[in-house]
Amino acid sequence: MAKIHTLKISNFRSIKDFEQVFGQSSFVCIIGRGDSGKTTILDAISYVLCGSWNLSIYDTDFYDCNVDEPIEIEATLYDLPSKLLQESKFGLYIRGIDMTTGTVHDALEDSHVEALTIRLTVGRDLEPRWCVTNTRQEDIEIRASDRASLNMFFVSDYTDRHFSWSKGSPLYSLLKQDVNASQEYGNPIIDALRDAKSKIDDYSFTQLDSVMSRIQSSAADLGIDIQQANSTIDLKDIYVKEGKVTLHEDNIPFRLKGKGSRRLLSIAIQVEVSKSGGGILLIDEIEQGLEPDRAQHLAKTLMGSDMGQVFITTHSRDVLVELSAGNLFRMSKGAKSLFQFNASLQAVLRANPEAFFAKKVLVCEGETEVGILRAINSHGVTNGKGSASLKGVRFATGKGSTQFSYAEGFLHAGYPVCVFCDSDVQSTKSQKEELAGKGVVVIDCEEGLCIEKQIFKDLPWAGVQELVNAQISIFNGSVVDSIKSRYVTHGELKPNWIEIDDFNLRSATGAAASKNKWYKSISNGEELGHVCCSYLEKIGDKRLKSIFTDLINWIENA
Amino acid sequence: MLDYQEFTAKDKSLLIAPAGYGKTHTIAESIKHTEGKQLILTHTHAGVASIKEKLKKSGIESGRYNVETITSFAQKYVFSFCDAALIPSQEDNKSYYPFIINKATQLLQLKPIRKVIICTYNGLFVDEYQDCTVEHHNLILGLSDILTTRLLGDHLQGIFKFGRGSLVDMNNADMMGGFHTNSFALSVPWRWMQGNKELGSDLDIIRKQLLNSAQIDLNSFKSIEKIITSDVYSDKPTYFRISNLLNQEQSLLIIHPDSKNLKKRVQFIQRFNNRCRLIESIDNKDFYSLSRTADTMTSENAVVVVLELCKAVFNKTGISIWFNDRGVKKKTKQTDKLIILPIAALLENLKKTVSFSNVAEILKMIRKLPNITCYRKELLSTLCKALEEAEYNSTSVYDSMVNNRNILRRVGRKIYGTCIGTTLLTKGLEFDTVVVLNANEFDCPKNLYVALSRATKKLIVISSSSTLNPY
Repeated sequence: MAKIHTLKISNFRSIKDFEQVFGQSSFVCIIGRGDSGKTTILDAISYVLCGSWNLSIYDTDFYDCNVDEPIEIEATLYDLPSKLLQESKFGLYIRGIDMTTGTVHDALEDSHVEALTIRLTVGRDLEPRWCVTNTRQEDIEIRASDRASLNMFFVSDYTDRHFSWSKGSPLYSLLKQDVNASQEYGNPIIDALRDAKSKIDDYSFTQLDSVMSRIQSSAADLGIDIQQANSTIDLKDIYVKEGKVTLHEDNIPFRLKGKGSRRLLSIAIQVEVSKSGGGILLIDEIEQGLEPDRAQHLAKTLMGSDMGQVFITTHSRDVLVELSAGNLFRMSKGAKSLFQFNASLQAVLRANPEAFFAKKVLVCEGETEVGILRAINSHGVTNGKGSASLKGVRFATGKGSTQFSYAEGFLHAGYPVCVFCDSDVQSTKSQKEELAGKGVVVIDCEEGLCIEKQIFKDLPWAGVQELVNAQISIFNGSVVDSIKSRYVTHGELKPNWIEIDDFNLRSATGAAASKNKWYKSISNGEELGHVCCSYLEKIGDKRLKSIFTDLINWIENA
Repeated sequence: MLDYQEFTAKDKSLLIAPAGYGKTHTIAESIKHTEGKQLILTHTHAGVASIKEKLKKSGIESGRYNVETITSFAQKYVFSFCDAALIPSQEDNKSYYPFIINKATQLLQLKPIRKVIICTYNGLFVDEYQDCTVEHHNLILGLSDILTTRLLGDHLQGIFKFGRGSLVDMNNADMMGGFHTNSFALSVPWRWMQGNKELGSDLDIIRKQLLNSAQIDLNSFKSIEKIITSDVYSDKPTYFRISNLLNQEQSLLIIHPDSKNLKKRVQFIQRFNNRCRLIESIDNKDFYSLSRTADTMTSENAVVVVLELCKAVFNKTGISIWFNDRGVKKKTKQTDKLIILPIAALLENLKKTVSFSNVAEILKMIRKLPNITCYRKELLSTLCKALEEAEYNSTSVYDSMVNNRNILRRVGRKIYGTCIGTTLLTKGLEFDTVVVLNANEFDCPKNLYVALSRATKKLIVISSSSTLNPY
């Protein structure tokens, strides 16, 4: 129970002004480049729904460290625990969500879903104040115990507390939910501690007797009788709270376990708590400490369970492929809201999960093109330019015509998009024009050519020689045979054909390369790219030159 | 004997419960057969107080119920969910109350608000159902869609005439819908079992006669003390009898048949030397009009305003002994001079700076002056409180008064001791001894029945005739 419909943040850490409607999403995955503010969003949620009475806020939590502008975090929640909806609690403070428009109203209508808005305000005194707010009435304070009933739970690196039985820990809430245990036996943990204390009381400490008798006689000399004195433990020190009793395995406390195991166990406990009443689970970097398959499994399990609402952040492609595009929200630095991906991007997501972490996406026709781009990238790096990764560029592939739908998808998802493609299929011409009209940068070959044909057409002859010789060194005679069969309309191949720069020979070689898939893999494409790059200066004013320069410029600047 | 289990298990049920037949007890017992929190609605603040007391005595956890008047329950929702600018002024009784009830009825139809009700309550009891107007009835019908609802009431006690809307007809099967088919009744006059069993059975006979519109012959009821006179004050034996009762009884209620004319009750208090307390109507207009008067105070008219307030709460002859139009009268006797000095000083201060708390102080001091009598103690003390709060909160006296009345309406009030009131003000209350004045003046069987049935041990009926024809 309790789900966040709308979240507003002002002046909190890196966020000046932010408002996001999560609507009815019960699984939210926030992605974005590092430092874009993903964790700030999770922290904001954990602060406004904080179940403990105190919260340490520092000047550095204020946007720009400016404490004159108060931090305000506001969460509008629906699916609330009925306890909070009681008349005597906040029932008279409810607001209405119009689920069709995703808007929150103070004048209630029958079709509205009841909601409460909780606001955390921190001013320059650093004192956090939580209240339930609407525009009809004055704000009313909401106490920690009421906030705790929202069951918000943040899986962070410091989850040790979650393995203890102290009051307020998730284990303790489970104990309380277990009616049999709590009603019939009181608190079993405290009872066990009392047992332990009485055992210490009974211990005779005979080793201390001689010292004791010396003290006793000395004390008697001075006129004080302490014959009845004995040694046991000071209650002050034995006063062990249930918080000191924690989960162990093979006598090793769980807090000393590996990060992944700790996080998984901590999530498991919370999921169990949520089963009865639901809750809001926050997991920053869900893949942390987990093998890809475990991270994947975890994401899948959380998405499938109807335990409440889950907010995660991730940088893992493995996690991403498990999710639905509709669950994805992208945060960009300084953004006033998240970008929610459209469910129609599902295929793009499955095919190119990495691209979703990028700032801009270069969609390639196939693996040859990706290889070429990798070569361009390493060429740039060796020449002292920034890498594609530094510029936030990802290369995505879309086989054949799906390339265009992917490109459109990424464009729709708000990424700058470039398409790198062939021009050997007549029908794609209009599609490319359409994409270009929408703002996609289209880099393609001359009419009727695929990239292999374009390269063999425009590359300086020395480069062609290098490429052909490399093929021959692997495949021997079949390479020449293949060229020969495509040159046949122009006559026989001369024995020294490899020395002669000839237009027809170039097209025959290009056709052979394309037909026999010389470069249809990323690594072969990369080889091809390396050769092209090394001849880049010498290409002259040809299409190949502009293709490469356009690609380099787009990666650098777009 | 009522089957509580059956009564509470039905989604909708109706219980015909005459006064004194253990209705409040039935509510308490029924709650024990329910689960979760029960909303208990009634009409009067007196009713709220007596139900609360009964539930407490029955040992029911206070978290199991919420007792309110229908109006305060409705107000709570209207104030919380309705734009304040749309709500008529509370002083405007005629449009305020219907607005509150109708608006609340609309609000309680909304799904989000119904959710709040369901989250808060498991069931509903409505007491004194005969007093519901048709508007109240519609509100309750709305609640009965979502809560298990039990209505309790007695048609013969339906005496409220708010001057607006008509009362629900508990006998009308169409109007009462599903409730009529699950109708139960209480038949034992429990109220009199301990103190005066004969009175109980006599009242049961009177009840039946009234239901049949028959003439009531007081002489045929041995348990009732009858005094036949047309003038309580000049008829010496009657005067002494009442005087004795006022001196001796701990729990005594005087009921006057005229509910419109407050003066007649004040006159009674005067004639019997202020020995009983006037039960004020929470919304008596004097509370508001005096607050408005206080609000008009400036340093120029301060004395005039204070005197105007005095005349409303104290005896006029007393006031004229100590004051004239310009302020404090010159006194010759040394003792009088000493007594009036501090009041004169405060009045002087008031001429310089207007201070509501000083006005309250002055009123309290005047009350202690010789020859001054206050016949409306509740009005005076409430006014003083409103004056003090107005100064403390920097609001108008009127706003403080509205707030005071609202709080009282919400928390309810206890009425006990020696009081004078009308059937309207004492419905639902029990007193050991009840004196019904001018019983022959009752012109409605319902009012007469309510008046007679307030007594648990001793009933004294004063009438000009030994037969009553309240039709």
